[in-house]
Amino acid sequence: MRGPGFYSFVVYKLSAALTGLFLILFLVFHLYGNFYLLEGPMVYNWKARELLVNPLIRVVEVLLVIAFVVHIVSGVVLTARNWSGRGERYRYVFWQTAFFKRLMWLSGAVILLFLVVHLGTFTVPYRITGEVQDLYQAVAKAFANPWYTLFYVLAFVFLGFHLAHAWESAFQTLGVFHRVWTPVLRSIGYFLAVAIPLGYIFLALYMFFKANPEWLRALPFLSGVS
Amino acid sequence: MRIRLRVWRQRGPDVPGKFEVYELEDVSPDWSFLEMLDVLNLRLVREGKEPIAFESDCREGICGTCGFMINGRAHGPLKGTTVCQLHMRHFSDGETITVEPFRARAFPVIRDLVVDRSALDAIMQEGGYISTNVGSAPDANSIPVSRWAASRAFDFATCIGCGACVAACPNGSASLFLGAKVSHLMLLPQGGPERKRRIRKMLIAMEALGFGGCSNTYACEAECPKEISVEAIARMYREAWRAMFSHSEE
Repeated sequence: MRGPGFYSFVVYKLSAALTGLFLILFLVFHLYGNFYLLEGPMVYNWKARELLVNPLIRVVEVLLVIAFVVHIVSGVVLTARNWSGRGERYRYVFWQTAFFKRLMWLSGAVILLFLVVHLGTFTVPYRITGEVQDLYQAVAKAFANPWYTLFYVLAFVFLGFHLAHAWESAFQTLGVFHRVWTPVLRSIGYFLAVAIPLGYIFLALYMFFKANPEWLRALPFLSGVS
Repeated sequence: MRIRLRVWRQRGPDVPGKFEVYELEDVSPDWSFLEMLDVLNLRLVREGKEPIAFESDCREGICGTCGFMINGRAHGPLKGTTVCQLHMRHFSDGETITVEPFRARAFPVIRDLVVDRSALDAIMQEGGYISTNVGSAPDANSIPVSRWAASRAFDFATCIGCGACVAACPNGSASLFLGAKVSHLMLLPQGGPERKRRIRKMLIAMEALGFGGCSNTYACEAECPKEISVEAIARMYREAWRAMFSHSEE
Protein backbone atom coordinates (compact mmCIF):
# COMPACT_ATOMS: atom_id res chain seq x y z
CA MET A 1 0.00 0.00 0.00
CA ARG A 2 1.28 3.47 -0.88
CA GLY A 3 0.84 6.15 1.74
CA PRO A 4 1.68 9.85 1.89
CA GLY A 5 5.25 8.97 2.83
CA PHE A 6 7.43 6.81 4.99
CA TYR A 7 6.22 7.05 8.58
CA SER A 8 4.97 10.53 7.83
CA PHE A 9 2.84 11.48 10.84
CA VAL A 10 5.18 9.66 13.19
CA VAL A 11 8.12 11.65 11.82
CA TYR A 12 6.26 14.94 12.31
CA LYS A 13 5.29 13.85 15.83
CA LEU A 14 8.93 13.13 16.68
CA SER A 15 10.06 16.52 15.28
CA ALA A 16 7.35 18.34 17.22
CA ALA A 17 8.19 16.49 20.45
CA LEU A 18 11.97 17.01 20.31
CA THR A 19 11.82 20.67 19.23
CA GLY A 20 9.04 21.27 21.76
CA LEU A 21 11.14 19.99 24.65
CA PHE A 22 14.02 22.19 23.47
CA LEU A 23 11.69 25.20 23.33
CA ILE A 24 10.52 24.53 26.92
CA LEU A 25 14.20 24.68 27.94
CA PHE A 26 14.45 28.00 26.10
CA LEU A 27 11.37 29.33 27.92
CA VAL A 28 12.99 28.56 31.28
CA PHE A 29 16.23 30.35 30.35
CA HIS A 30 14.37 33.31 28.87
CA LEU A 31 12.36 33.61 32.10
CA TYR A 32 15.58 33.51 34.11
CA GLY A 33 16.86 36.44 32.02
CA ASN A 34 13.61 38.36 32.46
CA PHE A 35 13.92 38.24 36.23
CA TYR A 36 16.87 40.69 35.97
CA LEU A 37 14.14 43.30 35.32
CA LEU A 38 13.67 43.31 39.12
CA GLU A 39 17.29 44.53 39.49
CA GLY A 40 16.58 47.76 37.60
CA PRO A 41 17.81 49.26 34.31
CA MET A 42 21.59 49.16 35.01
CA VAL A 43 21.86 45.47 35.77
CA TYR A 44 19.23 44.43 33.19
CA ASN A 45 20.88 46.30 30.32
CA TRP A 46 24.31 45.07 31.35
CA LYS A 47 23.09 41.44 31.40
CA ALA A 48 21.35 41.89 28.04
CA ARG A 49 24.52 43.34 26.49
CA GLU A 50 26.58 40.52 27.99
CA LEU A 51 24.27 37.99 26.34
CA LEU A 52 24.38 39.83 23.02
CA VAL A 53 28.17 39.71 22.76
CA ASN A 54 28.49 36.10 23.92
CA PRO A 55 29.73 34.05 20.93
CA LEU A 56 27.89 30.95 22.20
CA ILE A 57 24.60 32.79 21.73
CA ARG A 58 25.07 32.63 17.91
CA VAL A 59 24.84 28.82 18.05
CA VAL A 60 21.84 28.90 20.36
CA GLU A 61 20.11 31.45 18.12
CA VAL A 62 20.51 29.25 15.05
CA LEU A 63 19.20 26.23 16.97
CA LEU A 64 16.28 28.29 18.19
CA VAL A 65 15.30 29.44 14.71
CA ILE A 66 15.50 25.84 13.46
CA ALA A 67 13.49 24.56 16.43
CA PHE A 68 10.77 27.18 15.98
CA VAL A 69 10.48 26.56 12.22
CA VAL A 70 10.42 22.75 12.57
CA HIS A 71 7.95 22.94 15.47
CA ILE A 72 5.57 25.29 13.63
CA VAL A 73 5.75 23.37 10.34
CA SER A 74 5.14 20.03 12.14
CA GLY A 75 2.22 21.54 14.02
CA VAL A 76 0.60 22.91 10.86
CA VAL A 77 1.10 19.66 8.89
CA LEU A 78 -0.20 17.48 11.75
CA THR A 79 -3.23 19.71 12.33
CA ALA A 80 -4.12 19.63 8.62
CA ARG A 81 -3.75 15.84 8.45
CA ASN A 82 -5.74 15.33 11.64
CA TRP A 83 -8.59 17.54 10.51
CA SER A 84 -8.76 15.62 7.28
CA GLY A 85 -8.86 12.33 9.23
CA ARG A 86 -11.91 13.50 11.17
CA GLY A 87 -14.06 13.76 8.06
CA GLU A 88 -17.70 14.53 8.83
CA ARG A 89 -18.19 16.16 12.23
CA TYR A 90 -20.53 14.87 14.91
CA ARG A 91 -23.84 16.67 15.35
CA TYR A 92 -23.91 15.78 19.05
CA VAL A 93 -20.55 16.90 20.38
CA PHE A 94 -19.06 15.36 23.51
CA TRP A 95 -15.42 15.87 24.51
CA GLN A 96 -14.03 12.99 26.55
CA THR A 97 -10.83 14.82 27.46
CA ALA A 98 -9.72 18.29 28.52
CA PHE A 99 -10.31 21.08 25.98
CA PHE A 100 -6.64 22.15 25.85
CA LYS A 101 -5.65 18.68 24.62
CA ARG A 102 -7.92 19.12 21.60
CA LEU A 103 -7.13 22.79 20.97
CA MET A 104 -3.35 22.64 20.57
CA TRP A 105 -3.76 24.26 17.14
CA LEU A 106 -5.56 27.24 18.75
CA SER A 107 -3.06 27.77 21.58
CA GLY A 108 -0.27 27.24 19.04
CA ALA A 109 -1.72 29.90 16.74
CA VAL A 110 -2.02 32.41 19.61
CA ILE A 111 1.60 31.74 20.63
CA LEU A 112 2.71 32.22 17.01
CA LEU A 113 0.87 35.57 16.86
CA PHE A 114 2.54 36.55 20.14
CA LEU A 115 5.93 35.45 18.81
CA VAL A 116 5.59 37.73 15.77
CA VAL A 117 4.59 40.71 17.94
CA HIS A 118 7.35 39.94 20.46
CA LEU A 119 10.03 39.72 17.78
CA GLY A 120 8.78 43.00 16.29
CA THR A 121 8.75 44.81 19.66
CA PHE A 122 12.02 43.67 21.22
CA THR A 123 14.15 41.15 19.35
CA VAL A 124 14.42 42.82 15.94
CA PRO A 125 14.94 46.44 17.11
CA TYR A 126 17.48 45.42 19.77
CA ARG A 127 19.27 42.49 18.24
CA ILE A 128 19.16 43.11 14.47
CA THR A 129 18.53 46.76 13.51
CA GLY A 130 20.03 48.15 16.72
CA GLU A 131 17.58 51.07 16.86
CA VAL A 132 16.89 50.16 20.50
CA GLN A 133 19.95 50.59 22.73
CA ASP A 134 18.30 50.81 26.15
CA LEU A 135 16.40 47.52 26.30
CA TYR A 136 15.03 48.20 29.79
CA GLN A 137 13.48 51.45 28.55
CA ALA A 138 11.89 49.61 25.59
CA VAL A 139 10.40 46.99 27.93
CA ALA A 140 9.13 49.67 30.33
CA LYS A 141 7.57 51.60 27.43
CA ALA A 142 5.83 48.53 25.98
CA PHE A 143 4.37 47.39 29.29
CA ALA A 144 3.18 50.87 30.22
CA ASN A 145 0.47 50.23 27.63
CA PRO A 146 -2.43 48.33 29.29
CA TRP A 147 -3.46 46.73 25.96
CA TYR A 148 0.01 45.37 25.32
CA THR A 149 0.15 43.98 28.86
CA LEU A 150 -3.28 42.39 28.47
CA PHE A 151 -2.26 40.77 25.18
CA TYR A 152 0.95 39.52 26.80
CA VAL A 153 -0.89 38.02 29.77
CA LEU A 154 -3.49 36.32 27.55
CA ALA A 155 -0.79 34.91 25.28
CA PHE A 156 0.90 33.32 28.30
CA VAL A 157 -2.39 31.84 29.51
CA PHE A 158 -2.60 30.13 26.12
CA LEU A 159 1.03 29.06 26.48
CA GLY A 160 0.03 27.43 29.77
CA PHE A 161 -2.70 25.44 28.00
CA HIS A 162 -0.23 24.48 25.28
CA LEU A 163 2.34 23.29 27.84
CA ALA A 164 -0.26 21.41 29.90
CA HIS A 165 -0.65 18.95 27.03
CA ALA A 166 2.75 19.36 25.40
CA TRP A 167 5.01 17.93 28.09
CA GLU A 168 3.07 14.72 28.66
CA SER A 169 2.36 14.31 24.95
CA ALA A 170 6.03 14.69 24.00
CA PHE A 171 7.07 11.83 26.27
CA GLN A 172 4.25 9.63 25.01
CA THR A 173 5.43 10.30 21.46
CA LEU A 174 8.98 9.37 22.42
CA GLY A 175 7.53 6.05 23.61
CA VAL A 176 7.95 6.67 27.34
CA PHE A 177 5.20 4.89 29.22
CA HIS A 178 5.77 3.63 32.71
CA ARG A 179 3.57 2.66 35.61
CA VAL A 180 5.46 4.97 37.98
CA TRP A 181 7.19 7.57 35.82
CA THR A 182 4.31 8.52 33.52
CA PRO A 183 2.17 9.93 36.37
CA VAL A 184 5.27 11.70 37.74
CA LEU A 185 6.00 13.21 34.31
CA ARG A 186 2.36 14.30 34.02
CA SER A 187 2.61 16.16 37.35
CA ILE A 188 5.87 17.82 36.25
CA GLY A 189 4.11 18.89 33.04
CA TYR A 190 1.21 20.50 34.90
CA PHE A 191 3.65 22.22 37.26
CA LEU A 192 5.61 23.68 34.31
CA ALA A 193 2.37 24.69 32.58
CA VAL A 194 1.47 26.82 35.61
CA ALA A 195 4.92 27.95 36.79
CA ILE A 196 6.41 29.15 33.48
CA PRO A 197 3.49 31.37 32.37
CA LEU A 198 3.07 32.61 35.95
CA GLY A 199 6.68 33.82 35.99
CA TYR A 200 6.29 35.73 32.74
CA ILE A 201 2.90 37.16 33.76
CA PHE A 202 4.27 38.27 37.13
CA LEU A 203 7.04 40.27 35.46
CA ALA A 204 4.63 41.75 32.89
CA LEU A 205 2.32 42.95 35.67
CA TYR A 206 5.31 44.18 37.71
CA MET A 207 6.43 46.36 34.80
CA PHE A 208 2.87 47.50 34.12
CA PHE A 209 2.14 48.58 37.67
CA LYS A 210 5.56 50.22 37.95
CA ALA A 211 4.66 52.41 35.00
CA ASN A 212 1.04 52.92 36.11
CA PRO A 213 1.01 53.16 39.92
CA GLU A 214 -2.45 54.76 39.85
CA TRP A 215 -3.84 51.41 38.53
CA LEU A 216 -2.38 49.67 41.56
CA ARG A 217 -4.16 52.05 43.92
CA ALA A 218 -7.39 51.49 41.96
CA LEU A 219 -7.37 47.78 42.84
CA PRO A 220 -10.26 47.26 45.28
CA PHE A 221 -8.25 45.28 47.85
CA LEU A 222 -5.60 48.02 47.89
CA SER A 223 -7.98 50.96 48.05
CA GLY A 224 -6.89 51.85 51.57
CA VAL A 225 -3.17 51.89 50.67
CA SER A 226 -1.79 55.25 49.68
CA MET B 1 -39.76 3.97 30.86
CA ARG B 2 -40.49 6.64 28.28
CA ILE B 3 -37.66 7.36 25.86
CA ARG B 4 -37.38 9.99 23.14
CA LEU B 5 -34.94 8.76 20.51
CA ARG B 6 -33.21 11.02 17.97
CA VAL B 7 -31.73 8.67 15.39
CA TRP B 8 -29.51 9.54 12.43
CA ARG B 9 -31.20 8.33 9.24
CA GLN B 10 -29.18 8.21 6.03
CA ARG B 11 -30.25 6.17 3.01
CA GLY B 12 -26.83 5.75 1.43
CA PRO B 13 -23.17 6.82 1.47
CA ASP B 14 -23.63 9.89 -0.73
CA VAL B 15 -27.07 10.95 0.45
CA PRO B 16 -27.29 13.65 3.13
CA GLY B 17 -28.69 12.30 6.39
CA LYS B 18 -30.79 13.85 9.13
CA PHE B 19 -32.13 13.08 12.61
CA GLU B 20 -35.56 11.55 13.02
CA VAL B 21 -37.35 11.49 16.36
CA TYR B 22 -39.13 8.43 17.73
CA GLU B 23 -41.16 8.32 20.95
CA LEU B 24 -41.08 5.01 22.81
CA GLU B 25 -43.45 4.10 25.64
CA ASP B 26 -43.11 1.10 27.96
CA VAL B 27 -39.37 0.61 27.52
CA SER B 28 -38.18 -2.04 29.97
CA PRO B 29 -35.09 -1.08 31.97
CA ASP B 30 -33.89 -4.66 31.44
CA TRP B 31 -33.66 -4.32 27.66
CA SER B 32 -30.30 -3.76 26.11
CA PHE B 33 -30.01 -0.72 23.86
CA LEU B 34 -30.11 -2.98 20.80
CA GLU B 35 -33.21 -4.80 22.06
CA MET B 36 -34.91 -1.44 22.34
CA LEU B 37 -33.96 -0.71 18.71
CA ASP B 38 -35.30 -4.18 17.74
CA VAL B 39 -38.65 -3.30 19.31
CA LEU B 40 -38.68 0.07 17.55
CA ASN B 41 -37.80 -1.62 14.23
CA LEU B 42 -40.69 -4.10 14.66
CA ARG B 43 -43.00 -1.17 15.10
CA LEU B 44 -41.56 0.64 12.06
CA VAL B 45 -41.96 -2.49 9.90
CA ARG B 46 -45.57 -2.88 11.08
CA GLU B 47 -46.20 0.76 10.18
CA GLY B 48 -44.75 0.05 6.72
CA LYS B 49 -41.70 2.27 7.37
CA GLU B 50 -38.03 1.59 6.75
CA PRO B 51 -36.41 0.03 9.89
CA ILE B 52 -33.24 1.54 11.34
CA ALA B 53 -30.15 -0.21 9.99
CA PHE B 54 -27.56 -1.13 12.63
CA GLU B 55 -25.02 -3.92 13.03
CA SER B 56 -24.83 -6.58 15.73
CA ASP B 57 -23.78 -10.19 16.07
CA CYS B 58 -22.88 -11.88 19.37
CA ARG B 59 -24.67 -9.37 21.62
CA GLU B 60 -22.42 -10.36 24.49
CA GLY B 61 -19.70 -7.76 23.98
CA ILE B 62 -16.98 -9.90 22.42
CA CYS B 63 -17.37 -9.75 18.65
CA GLY B 64 -16.93 -6.04 17.87
CA THR B 65 -19.76 -5.89 15.34
CA CYS B 66 -22.07 -3.43 17.08
CA GLY B 67 -21.28 0.17 17.87
CA PHE B 68 -22.54 3.69 17.33
CA MET B 69 -22.55 6.96 19.19
CA ILE B 70 -25.03 7.53 22.01
CA ASN B 71 -25.15 11.14 23.20
CA GLY B 72 -21.80 11.76 21.51
CA ARG B 73 -20.04 8.81 23.16
CA ALA B 74 -18.87 5.66 21.40
CA HIS B 75 -20.89 2.69 22.78
CA GLY B 76 -22.76 5.05 25.08
CA PRO B 77 -22.04 6.51 28.51
CA LEU B 78 -21.13 3.32 30.40
CA LYS B 79 -17.40 2.60 30.73
CA GLY B 80 -15.97 -0.64 29.37
CA THR B 81 -19.07 -1.90 27.57
CA THR B 82 -20.22 -2.29 24.01
CA VAL B 83 -23.61 -1.01 22.91
CA CYS B 84 -25.13 -4.51 23.08
CA GLN B 85 -24.19 -4.76 26.77
CA LEU B 86 -25.57 -1.34 27.63
CA HIS B 87 -28.97 -1.61 29.30
CA MET B 88 -31.77 0.91 29.40
CA ARG B 89 -31.57 1.12 33.21
CA HIS B 90 -28.55 3.40 32.68
CA PHE B 91 -30.87 6.04 31.17
CA SER B 92 -33.52 8.02 32.97
CA ASP B 93 -37.24 8.02 32.36
CA GLY B 94 -38.29 10.58 29.75
CA GLU B 95 -34.72 11.11 28.54
CA THR B 96 -33.92 12.25 25.00
CA ILE B 97 -31.17 10.06 23.55
CA THR B 98 -29.23 11.05 20.43
CA VAL B 99 -27.94 8.17 18.29
CA GLU B 100 -25.39 8.80 15.54
CA PRO B 101 -23.17 6.50 13.49
CA PHE B 102 -19.40 6.23 14.17
CA ARG B 103 -17.84 8.99 12.12
CA ALA B 104 -14.37 9.26 10.62
CA ARG B 105 -13.01 9.90 7.16
CA ALA B 106 -11.98 6.22 6.97
CA PHE B 107 -15.45 5.04 8.09
CA PRO B 108 -17.96 6.07 5.40
CA VAL B 109 -21.62 5.66 6.39
CA ILE B 110 -23.30 2.82 4.46
CA ARG B 111 -26.79 3.33 5.84
CA ASP B 112 -28.26 4.84 9.04
CA LEU B 113 -25.97 3.57 11.84
CA VAL B 114 -23.96 1.13 9.69
CA VAL B 115 -20.48 2.29 8.72
CA ASP B 116 -17.84 0.64 6.58
CA ARG B 117 -15.05 -0.40 8.96
CA SER B 118 -13.15 -2.55 6.45
CA ALA B 119 -10.27 -0.05 6.65
CA LEU B 120 -9.34 -1.72 9.98
CA ASP B 121 -9.12 -5.09 8.18
CA ALA B 122 -6.98 -3.46 5.49
CA ILE B 123 -4.50 -2.33 8.20
CA MET B 124 -4.40 -5.89 9.58
CA GLN B 125 -3.74 -7.32 6.12
CA GLU B 126 -0.59 -5.19 5.91
CA GLY B 127 1.12 -6.74 8.91
CA GLY B 128 -1.20 -7.81 11.71
CA TYR B 129 -0.23 -11.45 11.37
CA ILE B 130 2.68 -13.88 11.79
CA SER B 131 4.10 -15.76 8.80
CA THR B 132 5.23 -19.11 10.18
CA ASN B 133 4.68 -22.68 9.13
CA VAL B 134 2.36 -23.99 11.78
CA GLY B 135 3.27 -27.70 11.60
CA SER B 136 2.24 -30.01 14.40
CA ALA B 137 1.73 -28.85 17.95
CA PRO B 138 5.06 -28.06 19.68
CA ASP B 139 5.99 -29.57 23.04
CA ALA B 140 4.72 -27.64 26.00
CA ASN B 141 7.20 -24.97 27.17
CA SER B 142 9.44 -25.41 24.12
CA ILE B 143 8.97 -21.69 23.54
CA PRO B 144 9.24 -20.00 26.95
CA VAL B 145 6.81 -17.12 27.53
CA SER B 146 6.85 -15.37 30.88
CA ARG B 147 3.67 -15.03 32.89
CA TRP B 148 4.00 -11.26 32.65
CA ALA B 149 4.41 -11.23 28.86
CA ALA B 150 1.50 -13.60 28.40
CA SER B 151 -0.89 -11.49 30.44
CA ARG B 152 0.28 -8.19 28.95
CA ALA B 153 -0.09 -9.61 25.43
CA PHE B 154 -3.57 -10.76 26.38
CA ASP B 155 -4.49 -7.26 27.64
CA PHE B 156 -3.75 -5.88 24.19
CA ALA B 157 -5.29 -8.87 22.40
CA THR B 158 -8.66 -8.11 24.00
CA CYS B 159 -9.16 -5.50 21.23
CA ILE B 160 -12.29 -6.54 19.34
CA GLY B 161 -11.71 -4.11 16.47
CA CYS B 162 -15.06 -2.36 16.94
CA GLY B 163 -13.70 1.04 15.87
CA ALA B 164 -14.81 2.98 18.96
CA CYS B 165 -11.29 4.44 19.28
CA VAL B 166 -11.45 5.80 15.73
CA ALA B 167 -14.95 7.17 16.31
CA ALA B 168 -13.98 8.90 19.58
CA CYS B 169 -10.68 10.30 18.27
CA PRO B 170 -10.81 13.98 17.26
CA ASN B 171 -8.53 13.01 14.35
CA GLY B 172 -10.27 9.79 13.32
CA SER B 173 -7.02 7.95 14.05
CA ALA B 174 -6.68 4.18 14.42
CA SER B 175 -3.59 4.52 16.65
CA LEU B 176 -5.03 2.67 19.65
CA PHE B 177 -6.21 -0.19 17.40
CA LEU B 178 -2.87 -0.36 15.59
CA GLY B 179 -0.94 -0.06 18.85
CA ALA B 180 -2.94 -2.85 20.47
CA LYS B 181 -2.40 -5.18 17.52
CA VAL B 182 1.32 -4.43 17.28
CA SER B 183 1.82 -4.68 21.06
CA HIS B 184 0.13 -8.03 21.46
CA LEU B 185 2.27 -9.54 18.70
CA MET B 186 5.60 -8.01 19.80
CA LEU B 187 5.18 -9.14 23.41
CA LEU B 188 5.27 -12.79 22.30
CA PRO B 189 8.30 -14.56 20.77
CA GLN B 190 6.41 -15.39 17.58
CA GLY B 191 5.87 -11.71 16.84
CA GLY B 192 9.59 -10.85 16.97
CA PRO B 193 10.92 -11.73 13.51
CA GLU B 194 8.58 -9.43 11.56
CA ARG B 195 8.51 -6.49 13.97
CA LYS B 196 10.05 -3.83 11.75
CA ARG B 197 8.23 -4.70 8.58
CA ARG B 198 4.96 -4.95 10.51
CA ILE B 199 5.06 -1.50 12.10
CA ARG B 200 6.26 0.16 8.89
CA LYS B 201 3.60 -1.36 6.66
CA MET B 202 0.76 -0.92 9.15
CA LEU B 203 1.59 2.75 9.79
CA ILE B 204 1.81 3.51 6.08
CA ALA B 205 -1.48 1.70 5.50
CA MET B 206 -3.21 3.60 8.31
CA GLU B 207 -2.43 6.94 6.69
CA ALA B 208 -3.13 5.76 3.15
CA LEU B 209 -6.60 4.68 4.27
CA GLY B 210 -7.45 8.19 5.44
CA PHE B 211 -7.05 7.82 9.22
CA GLY B 212 -5.56 10.82 11.02
CA GLY B 213 -2.54 10.76 13.31
CA CYS B 214 -2.45 10.57 17.10
CA SER B 215 -2.44 13.82 19.08
CA ASN B 216 -2.39 12.05 22.47
CA THR B 217 -5.77 13.33 23.69
CA TYR B 218 -6.56 9.80 24.99
CA ALA B 219 -10.24 10.04 23.99
CA CYS B 220 -9.78 6.51 22.57
CA GLU B 221 -8.78 5.07 25.94
CA ALA B 222 -11.82 6.71 27.57
CA GLU B 223 -14.20 5.07 25.09
CA CYS B 224 -12.58 1.67 24.43
CA PRO B 225 -15.09 -1.03 25.50
CA LYS B 226 -12.12 -3.25 26.40
CA GLU B 227 -10.40 -0.41 28.28
CA ILE B 228 -7.13 -0.86 26.40
CA SER B 229 -4.46 1.50 27.78
CA VAL B 230 -2.79 4.17 25.65
CA GLU B 231 0.39 2.32 26.60
CA ALA B 232 -0.41 0.57 23.29
CA ILE B 233 0.20 3.87 21.48
CA ALA B 234 3.49 4.49 23.33
CA ARG B 235 4.51 0.98 22.26
CA MET B 236 3.48 1.79 18.67
CA TYR B 237 5.84 4.79 18.70
CA ARG B 238 8.57 2.70 20.34
CA GLU B 239 8.22 0.12 17.57
CA ALA B 240 8.41 2.87 14.97
CA TRP B 241 11.61 4.38 16.46
CA ARG B 242 13.12 0.91 16.78
CA ALA B 243 12.37 0.23 13.10
CA MET B 244 13.62 3.66 12.03
CA PHE B 245 16.83 3.99 13.98
CA SER B 246 18.31 0.51 13.72
CA HIS B 247 19.60 -1.60 10.86
CA SER B 248 17.01 -3.74 9.20
CA GLU B 249 17.82 -7.41 9.53
CA GLU B 250 14.65 -8.46 7.76
